[in-house]
Amino acid sequence: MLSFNVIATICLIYVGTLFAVAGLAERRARQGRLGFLQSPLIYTLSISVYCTAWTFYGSVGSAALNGFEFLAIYLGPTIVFIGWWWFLRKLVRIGRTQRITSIADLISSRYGKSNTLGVIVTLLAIFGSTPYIALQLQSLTLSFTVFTEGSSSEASPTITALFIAAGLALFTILFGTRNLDANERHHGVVTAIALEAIVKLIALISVGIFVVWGVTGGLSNTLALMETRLPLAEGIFAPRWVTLTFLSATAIICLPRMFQVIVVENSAEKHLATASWVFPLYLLLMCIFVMPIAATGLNILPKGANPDLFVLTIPLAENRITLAALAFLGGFSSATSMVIVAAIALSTMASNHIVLPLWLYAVQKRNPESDDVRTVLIRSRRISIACIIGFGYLYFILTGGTSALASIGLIAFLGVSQVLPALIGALFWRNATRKGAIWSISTGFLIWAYTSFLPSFGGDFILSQNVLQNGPYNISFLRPQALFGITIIDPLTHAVFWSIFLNTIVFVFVSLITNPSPLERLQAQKFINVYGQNSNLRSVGEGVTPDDLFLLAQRILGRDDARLLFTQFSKKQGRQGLPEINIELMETLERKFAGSVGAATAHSMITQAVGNQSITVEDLIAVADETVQGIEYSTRLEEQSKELTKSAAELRIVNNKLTKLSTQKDDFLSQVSHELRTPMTSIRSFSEILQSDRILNKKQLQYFSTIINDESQRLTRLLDEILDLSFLESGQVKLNLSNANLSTVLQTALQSTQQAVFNANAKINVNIDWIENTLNTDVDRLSQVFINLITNAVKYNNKEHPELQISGKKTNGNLNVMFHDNGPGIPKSEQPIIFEKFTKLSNATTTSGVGLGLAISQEIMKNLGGSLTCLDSEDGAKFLVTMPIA
Amino acid sequence: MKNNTSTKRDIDRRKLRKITELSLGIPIIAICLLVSPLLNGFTKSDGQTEFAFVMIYIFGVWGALILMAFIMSRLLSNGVDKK
Repeated sequence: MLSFNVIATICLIYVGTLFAVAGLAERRARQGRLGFLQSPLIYTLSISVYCTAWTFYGSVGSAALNGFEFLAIYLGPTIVFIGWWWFLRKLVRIGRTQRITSIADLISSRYGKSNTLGVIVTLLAIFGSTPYIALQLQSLTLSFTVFTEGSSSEASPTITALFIAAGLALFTILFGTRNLDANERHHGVVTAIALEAIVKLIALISVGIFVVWGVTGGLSNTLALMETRLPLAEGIFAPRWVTLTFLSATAIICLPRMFQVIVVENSAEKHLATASWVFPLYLLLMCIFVMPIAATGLNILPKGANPDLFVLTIPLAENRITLAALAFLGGFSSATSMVIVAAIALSTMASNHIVLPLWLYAVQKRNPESDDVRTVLIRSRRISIACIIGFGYLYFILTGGTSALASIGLIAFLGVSQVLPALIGALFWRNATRKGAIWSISTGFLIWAYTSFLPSFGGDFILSQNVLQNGPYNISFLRPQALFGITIIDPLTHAVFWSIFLNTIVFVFVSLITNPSPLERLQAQKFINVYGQNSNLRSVGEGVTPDDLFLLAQRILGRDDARLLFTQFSKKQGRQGLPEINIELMETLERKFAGSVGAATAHSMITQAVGNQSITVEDLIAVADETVQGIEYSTRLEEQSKELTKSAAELRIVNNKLTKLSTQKDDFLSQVSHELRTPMTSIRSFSEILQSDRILNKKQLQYFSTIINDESQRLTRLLDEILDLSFLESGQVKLNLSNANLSTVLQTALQSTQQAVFNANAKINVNIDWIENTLNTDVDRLSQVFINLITNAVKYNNKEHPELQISGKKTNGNLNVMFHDNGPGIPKSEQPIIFEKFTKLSNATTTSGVGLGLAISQEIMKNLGGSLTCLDSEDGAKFLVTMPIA
Repeated sequence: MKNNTSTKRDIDRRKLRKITELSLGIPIIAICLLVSPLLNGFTKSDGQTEFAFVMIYIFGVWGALILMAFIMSRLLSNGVDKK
């Protein structure tokens, strides 16, 4: 047998381990090495705080008394967790986005940040949880007495409970009030609880395995034993089964400690996905050996043994000291983890919703600094923790040992379940109002107290035995356990039905007859549309009507301007009356408002009116798409206009060319006709003289016929030249290419011009160094060019001794021949036109030529693959003939 | 290209929606099998083997639900907030 001292020592060592684990975890978290502290497994294990001493010891007792019934308590949470996507995920998302610190905070925040609601939920939670904490203390002291029974050192249960309560309070204060912001999470506490979760699971399974294979002797024996020993109700599915499933499903959401571990301590949504199957698995493992233990206990232990303690007493009866110690630690873990988390959750609620508002009210006159608030919050949390555990202890002392405590678990569940209608409304019903929530929770609370909580004292507290039997003032209609004369056999089912039913009715009714305040509407929008992109497209302005916006616009822009703006939008949308709310309208309004009240205020006004989630991702994508399309379109336009400009420029150039060509043609024609006309005129007039009957002497006759001949020759030459030029220009000329010496060509040219040079008394200098080069060229044509250049140099020279310098240079496979005279030269302005047809220089004195020479020469040079250019020169004209060397 | 990605996004979204709708089926199955008169089909009749039968039924359904929840949590983990 384990002595009390030994078990106390084991207990202290275990508690010391918990402190160390929590301390280490806190230290790791502070250093930022979160690692496994943030793993989904730790999260899931911490949720197992649902399994309290009531599970650890109580479910075996329940199984011994009622058979399968206890399973409903674990099937409810299983259903909630496997359907996590539809409820818990939203709850967790809201908790994370809205920085929710407790269930009271959630309800208060959703319903317009109403502190009244916060206070109501907090009080409800404290009322519901205090008996539950007392139950844990009772389990703990009860498990201690198992070890002290029959021994000399008998410790008083009240003293034991006091020590336990003090220890728990110390632990909770140390590790539960480290961080102010509850969203910063209590890594130490959570890790310690995860450890306790493992301990209690291992303890229960160990006892189970020992019982099945060590005591009863195998599976089939155990099954047979269960059939003989355990009660099997005629039909498991009964009102009570449904009630228990419903209550437990509600409790896993609404219990302050469950809300704390599931929502507040959640660090990542994906942890919920893991918990969705690991937590049900944990519950299954916790339940699987409960019935074998119950059956075996009933079998081997003396009649009258407390079935609640079978987990401990079977190993003790079989003299398995170590197993008994392990089972004791399992129970200890179950109870302490519940008390710790509940105390943290409740203290957060109490300090945030009761102490802090009161303190702020008290020091309203002084402007409190933030440090002040911090100190007050931490202190109030510590005091709250001590108070809550103290309440539990007091409750235990006052009611300790009574059977009332055994059934308090379910009654506590029902108490906190009164939050459920308001909670579901908070998450899914836009029109749920603050008043609806207040009335709903208050109604549920009162009915719960009247039909369940107060009767649980069995007539010892407020409601007397007589009232329970016959109703207040003997009005049987109001009997606490048969309201309205309707008898429901099971008091729990009765209480659940009436409290939840009336609660919901009141919630819906009051919500429908009241209107939500703007802040409530805003919060509703935030809560219900917490997924943002999952809401439908029409969520732009879903929370706001065009009337609201119109009113707001009237207040800021003035009646007339607002009407004008809204009418414009209606017209644009093709609607009668007020326009539909879209992004464009909101943006316009915001811009207009910004003009009156500044950008920041305008934005907050619009976002407040419409809600934060008003612009969905789809909208943004649509806007982005439109922008991209716009950009593409304008780029295309730009390219097109560039192309157009380019072709217009080309056309303009072509047009210019054509105009120029046309002018040239006109000029050419008029020149040609002019040039033809002059000789034709003289030919005609002289031939007329010849035809006349005047008698002319021979000399006159000869003279006239000579003139006619000369002029005819001139005409022929002119026509030849024109023909030649047109052939050259069209490239149709036939070249007589042959290898020839430049000297030969030049010689020919000089000989042809000998007479003209002699007549003009001119001098021609030829530099003969380069003259022996062989060319592949048309000798006649090239000499024609040279002749033309020499003739021009001589003909247009007004000097007494005209001089012409012919020199040459060989460059890059080309022969350059320069003709440089000492004549009047060609003015720079006229250089570009001298190669045009029929061009005669303005200062030209002699005008015997027709002005085709240079044009022909240039065309010849082009045809020969060379060029003829006129160079700048200060004295005389300078022409450069370039031709390729063969 | 733009159309392709948006189509892909649509398909992904539809797929996720289908999975979420399927995931609603698990709690509904759970309620049908465990919190409905179906249960009494296993407990009404008298006879000594019934006890084991009920146990196997309840724990079997429970285990199957856990398995389904496990598969579903794998499928759904794409849809949860990665932060």
